[in-house]
Amino acid sequence: MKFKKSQIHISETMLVLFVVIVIIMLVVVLYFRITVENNKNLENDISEREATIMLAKVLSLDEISCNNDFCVDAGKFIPFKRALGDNFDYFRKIFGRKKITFRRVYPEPDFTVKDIECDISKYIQEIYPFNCGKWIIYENNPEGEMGTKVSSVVSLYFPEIDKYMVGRLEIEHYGSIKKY
Amino acid sequence: MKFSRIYRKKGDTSILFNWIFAIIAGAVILMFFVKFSFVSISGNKMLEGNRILVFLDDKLDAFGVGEGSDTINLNDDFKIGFSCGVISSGETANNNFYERSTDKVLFSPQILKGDEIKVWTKKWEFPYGIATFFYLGNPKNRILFVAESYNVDEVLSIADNIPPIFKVQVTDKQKFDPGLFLSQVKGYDKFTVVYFGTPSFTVNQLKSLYGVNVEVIIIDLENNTAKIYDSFGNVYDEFYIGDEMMYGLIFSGSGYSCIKERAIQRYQVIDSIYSDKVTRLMGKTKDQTCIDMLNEARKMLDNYRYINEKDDFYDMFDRIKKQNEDLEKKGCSGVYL
Repeated sequence: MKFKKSQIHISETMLVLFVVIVIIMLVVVLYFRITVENNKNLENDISEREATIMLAKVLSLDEISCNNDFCVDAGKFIPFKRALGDNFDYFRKIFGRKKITFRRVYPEPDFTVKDIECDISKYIQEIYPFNCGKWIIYENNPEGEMGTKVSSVVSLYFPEIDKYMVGRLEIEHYGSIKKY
Repeated sequence: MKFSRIYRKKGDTSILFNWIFAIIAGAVILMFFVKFSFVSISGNKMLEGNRILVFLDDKLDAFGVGEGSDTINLNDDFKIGFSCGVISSGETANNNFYERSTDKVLFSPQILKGDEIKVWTKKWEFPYGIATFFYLGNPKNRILFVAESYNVDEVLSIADNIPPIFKVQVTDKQKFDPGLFLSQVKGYDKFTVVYFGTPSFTVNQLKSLYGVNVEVIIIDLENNTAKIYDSFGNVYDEFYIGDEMMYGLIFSGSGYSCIKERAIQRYQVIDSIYSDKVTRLMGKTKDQTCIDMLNEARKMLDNYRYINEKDDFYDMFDRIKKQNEDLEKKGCSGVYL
């Protein structure tokens, strides 16, 4: 089959245009990917910064902090969780997409109770707070994202036994600037 | 070569198709780039618009950890809006308008324009800690206190409690001549005149003299109430709970009502936490006197949770304070430590 000269010209032009368009598309896609990656990094940076600020903010929140001393009132953890259930939208505005956990560090909890969450069933026992090791006071991760943790040492006050203990506040944040 | 000649020549129709193809392909590529540029520009603008709000929100979070005052430099001119629970940047009717909800109790003029925001944070305790209040302003929003001769000292001490960065001025009512402030007020966005007694000038008189947004607040220190007159002829009857809320009233003016409601909502949540805490503590103690006292405290917290009258708040303040002192004296677990 023989091609006319003009037909060959059209094919050549189309081929050149096709290659040029493909190159342009590749450049644009690459640019988009770099931009998306940059934005993702920016989002992670902002989320990390927010979580770090939250470390200090949680300690000053009247909902869980001691009234006079610079400590966290562990007696408010279980009431706080209950209030959280009744006012989740309200607290979601404060904490956003995070998981907030307090752990008892000193006196060091026994390894058998270290990862046991302190809930109402543990609270009513005589040996509380020595029968459990952590309090998850807030958790909001609707998209099941992987989190990054920041933490800080805190002073925990237990009004039930009138004693202070050393604890750790852990905030797991989910790399998203979407507040809720 | 003229287009008409190409068309007329026999056998050269391929060149015509080439042209048509090139024009269509060129137009598609051009449209793609235009669209891409628009998406890129609007994306950057959105990021920039949101960035200032996230920056401001984070700064306020950091300030809220303690009490004090400072200036936030925005590094560029911005128009920041503060309505109840929402911070915004830009003009409402504009594409560059962005908003972000906030949990903070912000007492501020509704709009702050410029490249800096002055912040003062103070804990609201009544008698236990409830929230940190944020008072915001800038050099274009100024406050003038007009004192009566019998309460000058009290008004001066209120003004002294406000950090000097806000440059609150105090004058005696007898000496208050609005004309003297004319040159200062001209460049302001909002001028708030706070009377601690009967007013000598109405909001309309001051507005027509100054030609800027003027608000007049009349505070009754004895009854903890206030009347707010805005530039649009609205009058708001309000009350405040504690000095911290009175400062909030002065800083926010006509926007006070909604912010006060947010603060009271916060009080209700804290009240429910304390009530639950007391119930749990009752189960932990064996001393019947303590159980009875804690039970009293719980009942009172439950009764006062949804109060909305000024007198009830002050009544609760006295009772809770006394109750906590009694608990401590008896060696029971303190509720509000």
